[in-house]
Amino acid sequence: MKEEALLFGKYESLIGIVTEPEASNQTAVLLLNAGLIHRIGPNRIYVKLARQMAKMGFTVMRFDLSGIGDSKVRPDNLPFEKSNVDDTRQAMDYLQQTHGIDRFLLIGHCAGAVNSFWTSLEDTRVIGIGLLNLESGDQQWDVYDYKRKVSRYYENYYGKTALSDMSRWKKLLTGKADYVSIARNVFRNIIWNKVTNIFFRYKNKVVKSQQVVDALRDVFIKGLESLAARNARVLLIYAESSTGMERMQLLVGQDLRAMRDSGKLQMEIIKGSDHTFTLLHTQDALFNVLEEWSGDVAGVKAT
Amino acid sequence: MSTEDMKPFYFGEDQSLFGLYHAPQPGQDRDTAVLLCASMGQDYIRAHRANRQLAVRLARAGFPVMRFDYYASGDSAGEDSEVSITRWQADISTAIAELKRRSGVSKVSLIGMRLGATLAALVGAQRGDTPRLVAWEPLVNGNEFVKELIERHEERLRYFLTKPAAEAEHQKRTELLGFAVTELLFNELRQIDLLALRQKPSQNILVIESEALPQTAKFQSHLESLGAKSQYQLVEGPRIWTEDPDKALVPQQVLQAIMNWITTS
Repeated sequence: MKEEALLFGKYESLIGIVTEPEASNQTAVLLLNAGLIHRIGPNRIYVKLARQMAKMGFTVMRFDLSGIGDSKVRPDNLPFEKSNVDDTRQAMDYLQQTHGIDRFLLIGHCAGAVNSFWTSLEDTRVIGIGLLNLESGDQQWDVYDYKRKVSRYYENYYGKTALSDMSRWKKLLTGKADYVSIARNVFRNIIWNKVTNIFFRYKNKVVKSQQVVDALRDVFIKGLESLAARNARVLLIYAESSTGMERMQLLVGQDLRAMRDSGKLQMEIIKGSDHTFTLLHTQDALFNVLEEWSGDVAGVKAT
Repeated sequence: MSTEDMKPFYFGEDQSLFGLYHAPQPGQDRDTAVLLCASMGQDYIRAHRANRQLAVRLARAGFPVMRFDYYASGDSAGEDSEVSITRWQADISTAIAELKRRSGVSKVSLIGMRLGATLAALVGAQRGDTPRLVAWEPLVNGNEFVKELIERHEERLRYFLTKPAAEAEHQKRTELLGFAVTELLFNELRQIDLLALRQKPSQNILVIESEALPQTAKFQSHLESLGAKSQYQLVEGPRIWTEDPDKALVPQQVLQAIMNWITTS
C-alpha cells in the first residue's frame, strides 16, 4: 500500500491523498469532507478507512473540496452545493484518467453524505453511496437537538458521575454545594428541556409539516429510487444517538422502510456511537459495516 | 485566482511524513524559513484552518513555510498506537532538514501551537540553532495536559452518548477524544516539563496565549533565566482547540500578533 499526495482538478487547486492498493479491484472510493473538517475526517477516520479499504483492493482518495482544508477557493462563482459536486466529479475524472477506473463508491459523513447523494444523481460512474449520519435539520430541529444534548449532559453529570463521587456527596451533605446551581441545572437543563422536547416531538408527529415531507419525498426519496433504478447501491448509516436518523424516521420513515424491505437500500445503526464516532469500538463497527458493504458492491471480500 | 503557491508531498524515511510547502511570495527576501508545529488529536483537527491561514500569511510576507503531520497523525503513515513524543521531536528535525532543502534557506524558525509549541521548545533547546520561536498556548506541564484531555473526553461522553457505557470508564486509559492512546504516550506526555529545560529553545521567543495562565508566566520567567530574549503577549480570543470543528475558527488577532512579531523581531 502506498499513498501519494497531489494537487488536481481543472484549476490544480484541489489537494488529495490517493491510497493505492497492491492489487486493484478496479473500483475507487472517494471519501468526502465531513463539514469543514479537512480530508482526514473526524477523529482521522478517513485515513484509517482509506488504508483498510486499500487492503481490499480499492483505490481510495480523500481530498478537500474547494475552500475547505488545504484546497484553494475556486476562481469561479459557482454556488457551494454545485461546486461540491463539480469538485467531486473532478476527483473521479482524475482517477479515471490516471488509473483507468470508472466505478466509484462515494462515502461521506454528515455534509459529505449530502455531497455523495447529489453527486451520485449526476454521475452514473457512481455505483454506490455510503451516507454516514445524513442530517436534514432546520433551525427548530437544531434547537431540539441542542436541548437534548444539554439535558443528557446534566443527566449523566448528576446521575452516573456525581452519585458515585464521595467528595460531591460530602459537599452536598455539609452545605458546601451550590444548591442554586444544582437546582437550576436539574429543573431547567434536565426537566424543562425534556418537557419542551417531548412537546416538540409530539407536535412534530401530529402536525409534521406536509410541505417538508413532500419536499423530502420529492428530492431524497425520488433520488434514492432513481439510484435503485440504475442499480446503484445505497447504504444509510446512523450513529445511535443521531437526531438525523430520528428526523428522517419521523418524516419519511415509512418510505425508507419500504425501500429497505424491497432491497433498494441498506440501513445500519452503530450502537453506542455519537455523531463523530468518538469511541474506538464504534469506529471499528463503522469500518466493519462499510467494508462489508463496499466489498459486496464491488464483488470483493472484506479483509 | 489565488496567488498562493503550495505543494503537498511525502518526505522523510520511507516517505512516511506528509508535508505542505508554501513557497514565499517574491519581493521580500527573508533570511529564515518557518516551520509550523501542530498539536495532537482534536487540537490538531480544530486548529487546522488557523494553521493553514498562518502559513499563507507568512508566505505572503516572504517566508518559505512548511506544515507537516507527525508520524501516525494526519496524513502521515502510521497508526494512533504508534504515536510517540520522542519520535515526534525527531520528526520536527526531519521537517527542518526538508524545509531547508526545499527553500535553500539555512535557518528555520519554529511556530508551535499547544503541544506543538512544547515540542518546538524541546527541539529548539536540543538543537540550539532556532533563530525565532513562537510558543502559542504552550503546554508547560505534560501532566496537566493529560488531566485536561481526560476531562474533555469524559465531558464529551456526557454530551453525546445515549448511555455512557460502563466500558467508557476504563476506556479512558486506552483512548482519548477519538484516538487510541498507549501507556508509552501517557508516560511521555506526563514527563513533559518545560520548566526543566536547561538550554534556551531560541534566542528570540514570543509566548502568546489567550488566557493568562500561571504556568505560562513561570515558563516566561524560566526562559529569561536561561538568557533568552522573550516577549509575552496576552491576546484574548476563542480557545479554538475546544471549539466545534465545524466552526473552523481562525483567531485573527493572534495570527496578526504573530505576524507583527515575526516580521519585526
